[in-house]
Amino acid sequence: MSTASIFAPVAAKDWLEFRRDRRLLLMAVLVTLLALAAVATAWVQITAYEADRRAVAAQDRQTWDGQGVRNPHSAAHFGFWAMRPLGPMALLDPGITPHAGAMVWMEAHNRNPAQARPVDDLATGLDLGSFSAAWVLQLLMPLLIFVIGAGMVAREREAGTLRLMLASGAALPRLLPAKAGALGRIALLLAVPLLAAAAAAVLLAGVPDLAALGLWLLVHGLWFALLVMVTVIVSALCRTAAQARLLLVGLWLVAALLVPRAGAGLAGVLAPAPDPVAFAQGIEAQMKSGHDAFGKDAKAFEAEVMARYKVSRLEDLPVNIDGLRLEAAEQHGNAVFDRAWGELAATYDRQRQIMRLAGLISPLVPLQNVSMALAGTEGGQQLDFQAGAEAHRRSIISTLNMDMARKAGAAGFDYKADPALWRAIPDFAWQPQPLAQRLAGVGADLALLVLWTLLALAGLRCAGRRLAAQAV
Amino acid sequence: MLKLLAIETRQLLTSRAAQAALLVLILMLGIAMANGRSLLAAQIATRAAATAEASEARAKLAEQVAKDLPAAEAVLLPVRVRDAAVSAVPPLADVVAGRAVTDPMAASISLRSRADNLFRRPSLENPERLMRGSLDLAFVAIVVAPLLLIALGHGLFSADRDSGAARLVLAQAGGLGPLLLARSLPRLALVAGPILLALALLLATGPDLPGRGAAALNWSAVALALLAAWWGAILWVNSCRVSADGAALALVSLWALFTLVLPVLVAANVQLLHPSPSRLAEMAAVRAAEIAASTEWENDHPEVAASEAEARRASVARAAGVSARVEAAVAPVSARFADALAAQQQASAALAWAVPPLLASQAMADAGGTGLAGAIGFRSEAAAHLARLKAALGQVLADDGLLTPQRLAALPRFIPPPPTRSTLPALIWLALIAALLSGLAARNFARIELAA
Repeated sequence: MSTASIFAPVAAKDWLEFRRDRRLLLMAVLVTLLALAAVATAWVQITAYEADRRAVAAQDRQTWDGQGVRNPHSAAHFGFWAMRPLGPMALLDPGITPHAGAMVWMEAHNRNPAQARPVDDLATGLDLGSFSAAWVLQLLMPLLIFVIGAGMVAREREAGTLRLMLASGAALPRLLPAKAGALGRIALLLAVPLLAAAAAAVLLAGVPDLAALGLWLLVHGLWFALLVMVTVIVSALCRTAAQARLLLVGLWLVAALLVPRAGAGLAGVLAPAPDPVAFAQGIEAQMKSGHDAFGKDAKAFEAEVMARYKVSRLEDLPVNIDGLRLEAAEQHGNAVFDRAWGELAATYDRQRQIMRLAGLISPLVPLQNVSMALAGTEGGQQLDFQAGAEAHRRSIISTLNMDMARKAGAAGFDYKADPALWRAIPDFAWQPQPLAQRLAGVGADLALLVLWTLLALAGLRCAGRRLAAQAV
Repeated sequence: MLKLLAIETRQLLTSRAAQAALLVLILMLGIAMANGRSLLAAQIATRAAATAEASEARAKLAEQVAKDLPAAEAVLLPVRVRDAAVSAVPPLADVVAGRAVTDPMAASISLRSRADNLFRRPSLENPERLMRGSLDLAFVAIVVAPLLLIALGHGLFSADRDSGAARLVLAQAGGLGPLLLARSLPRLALVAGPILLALALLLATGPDLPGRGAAALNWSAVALALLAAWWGAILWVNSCRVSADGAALALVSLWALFTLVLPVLVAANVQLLHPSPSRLAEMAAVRAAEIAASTEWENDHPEVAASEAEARRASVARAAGVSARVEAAVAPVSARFADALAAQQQASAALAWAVPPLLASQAMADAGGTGLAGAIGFRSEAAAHLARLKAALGQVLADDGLLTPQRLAALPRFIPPPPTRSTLPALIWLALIAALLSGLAARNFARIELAA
């Protein structure tokens, strides 16, 4: 009997059994409702955040433009907020956004870390992920598929129907692909409402990157195929359905909850992030030890500026020396920030490499990496946003300093700039990296995911042969 | 009874399921301990760095104050007062990470600080690492251990019923009570024992922190109460007329519902019950208030604003006045946000009573000093300390603007509030749940025994 000929009756029988088991049906309905609620919740959160961000950015701009006459350096201290935009794909997978700062305060003298992490305001204590489509598909659905499919083959063995199939001429090695097909059909029926709702919500939330959306759906299709194959393999290897169910739940626990956390813990131990106080102290020490145009290097700086402008007295300078001092301090600070934040980014990169190793034990890790990259919510985007904010900060502060240098004259810090200066400062505009660039960052994860699927296919084949040998 | 207990323990230890459960548990505990040690060491180091920074600044200032500085320099000293509000080290951060990874541990306090932006050095942890979650002893006790108990206990009695050996087993054991006790104790010990052992190891090899012993006792009481509640659920399901497979399915579903789904649902939807103004809006409103209140403020460099003592003193006083006005303008905005957040937190705390694992996780964090209540307490005390320090420095500025050694010594010092909170209500509630479920199971088992 061919796979095709055995597929239809097997799938029909398994579907019937699934429908008759009210417990499983109830669980499936509940999970589907939960999934739809997750999509709705994420949609509300993301659209509210984006509306809020736009309104606040407009208000911030109005505040900036309307600050009246003021010294540019005073304005530099009351700088801008850079707010991270979230694309519609973020409602599928919020990724790191709950744990990453959404705003960067751009001011003189400092490169500030991103603030307003949603997790800081989290009222509950048990952080098991963000309620979203990705959470349901990556964490909850596997458990449901494992529970539903645990008895697929084991129950046939318990009931003695495996031998009956053999007696009726069925080729047992081909039974497992047929069983996988049957479970796949059930999984598809569970996933389709969620995927359709998720896709619709993304389309409603804004103009999505259709290629990214298609790839996201495709990758999760691959994930479901992998889950289905693992379920059937375990079910074929276990003597009873209860044994298979517990083993699958154990595998889920290890792969979904323990390994990713263990990887994160290992990354923290092997490549610890600097503590915030020491980090700030390091920057401060470097700032103080370097060029100080206001303090220890003031005279040398004045001499250098006077030489540059070919004058012998400060009063004869065509520019305001304090504006230049501020700019020199910024330039020195920028070099210090580049070193310190560069090291921090390198630490994050080392941590990412270590966490990626967990993907060798759990396929969920590469799936999450790919999913976040496609949704534009991975760590690389956050670093890019922060770098964009820093570049914008430097541009604003430099403009303000140079305005003071050019126009303050003898008034110095008593100089008040015209409000036209505030209006000349451009808005912060950051766009997520293009899809190709994001995908390049997760090439290894994609390869690992494909490898896991191939391994599962091979496992399915081996389990089929073993089943046939045992039945005989 | 002891003989029965020995037989059941031997059988359990030779079963593959128990061996696998033990292996997983030991592996997880090993990783949790390593993570915990690393976190606690970082917590201590960060606080030590902040304390050292403040002490250094204080010593440097004291040296300057003791010197007979020219008046033009001396009037700048109040601006140079730098204090630090450093929270107490959570006694069990190595056992329950809670909010320790993300919450700020120290705030730098000076005349220019404001209550709304005291904590300007947030944790620099990689968000990607935070997103994966932490694996600590509390996670093992709340998430992993109940699942292992389910694996070991789903067929506690239902498996005998499935195989038709229930009457025989009952006759051999001399009653259902001794049988269940002999089967329950080794299983509970197999799961709870290694967890308590890991806790003891952390205590024995970790630093000696104030309140660590008492915190560990509270933590273990909550962990044991939660495991007892789960064991009550396992007994109750076994006492219903279901097969071992059905019991496993029901228990795994209960676990998934209470441990996985409901905590995430509570976190996601508590905002719907008590919507708060957005953080972005709060920060923008704060900025608008700042701008409106600070038009007089020209710069933050009084040393270059003027060279004479009086002018510098006026500059310092003006900056302090503007800062106070900005703070006053910002306060209602921040208070609105804080009120909404407090309402959310109260709603979440109320809902946690219906979700035992969530309640246990909050109680464990409170016991370990890494809970929300401890964090709020620290923030409030830091803000209060800032107000006290500003008032004292304001008085100095109002007098003659000069910081004498006596005035410096009289400045208030920060005393961190205790980070731990009582866990008794949660403990009682979990114990009640355990008792209720065990009681229901006992009633059902009594009927079964009678029928047998």
